[in-house]
Amino acid sequence: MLNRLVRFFVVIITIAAISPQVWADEAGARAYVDSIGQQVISIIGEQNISNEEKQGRLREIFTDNIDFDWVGKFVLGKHWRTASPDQQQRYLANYKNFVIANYTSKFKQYSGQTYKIRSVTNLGEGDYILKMSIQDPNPKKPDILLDYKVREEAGAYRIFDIVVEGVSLITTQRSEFDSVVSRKGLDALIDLLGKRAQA
Amino acid sequence: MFKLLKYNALPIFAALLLSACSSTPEPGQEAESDPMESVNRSIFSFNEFIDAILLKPVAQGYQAIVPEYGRERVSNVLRNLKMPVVFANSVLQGDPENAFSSFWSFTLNSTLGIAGIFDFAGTNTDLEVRKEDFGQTLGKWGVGSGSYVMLPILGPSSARDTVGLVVDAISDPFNWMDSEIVITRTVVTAIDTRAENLELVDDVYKTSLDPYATFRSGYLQRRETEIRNEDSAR
Repeated sequence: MLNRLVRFFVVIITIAAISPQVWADEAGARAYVDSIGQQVISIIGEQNISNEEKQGRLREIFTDNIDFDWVGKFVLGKHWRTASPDQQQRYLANYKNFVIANYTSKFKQYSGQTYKIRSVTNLGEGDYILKMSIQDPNPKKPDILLDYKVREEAGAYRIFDIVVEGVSLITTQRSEFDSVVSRKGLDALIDLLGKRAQA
Repeated sequence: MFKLLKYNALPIFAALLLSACSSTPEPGQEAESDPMESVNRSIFSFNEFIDAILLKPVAQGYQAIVPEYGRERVSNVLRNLKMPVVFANSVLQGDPENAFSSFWSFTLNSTLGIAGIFDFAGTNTDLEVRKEDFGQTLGKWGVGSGSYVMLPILGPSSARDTVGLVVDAISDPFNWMDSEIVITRTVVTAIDTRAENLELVDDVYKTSLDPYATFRSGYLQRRETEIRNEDSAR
């Protein structure tokens, strides 16, 4: 009877010790995405700096918060293993420039949308998915469903996927790149990425 | 017209459905579910051509000439006309909530909303309707998407979803009306849909290294989201 009681308390104490950690991590992921959201919105909303300056600051945020090495490798899929070290290096460099160039320029389309984090789910192994909805200032327009997938490594969080209305960016890119490499080869893909990064 | 469909199309349906019973492709490896890729790419080029010379300019003109208020009215009417199909498929999927919403949305909007012109239900009630179609119903029942199919003019589809399109077209009560009305509705739907997607499609062409692959991946992922009913915040 005493044994049972002791075991019961051990279990309770263990749960109590773990749960705050779990909560803290989900709360941590939420706080992380919130802080990025605020940073991005404040940069875009700044009145006294030029568009180039804005794009530069957004580029910094991208570089600091996206795990380009992991994402680049994921997106290249099975073709990464068959690539030479030189190709891998060139690919990662061009991939990073491509994503930054293409997505930091999108801020010009921003027109006062706000976001709301609907839920945070722990996917296990340090991965979290944050489901958000983006509200348009025009109440008649429907909300856009946007999810961020975030990974925690050594206390720091980084974004590894963005899912818009159910379509995952890294999944779609993997499909695209697979198609280009299968039809035209890896060097062609690397060149294409380089060219498009100037856009 | 129905007799023709019944006798000639039945073997085609069966073949499509059988091929559709294969599993849905793993996201990111959709090329494996595109055995007809070269044919699909040709049809895609054809679609791009028709889009460039006809559909896109008309949609752009529509957007430029008709004020947003007017375009909203048109969208409302078109969406309302889809409600019977949404209702039927919600029932088939065992979704009483959506069946209820679509039924009452249709009733209210057709009467108080004056033939669907005003989204009375959307603005005055809490009713939220999620779009459902027979392709989603088949998906809910476990039918995999099957081969990826690029339909002429209609765009991306799959073996399963093509069957879905046909079943919806036949079962839609508004398609039983005068052929002139049906054709008008179809044309207006095409223009309305294209106008809503102008930005999105332009975006794809700007960032994609292979638009065909992007549309394919996006389409298949989107369908899975719709089947799992994750396309609404409910």
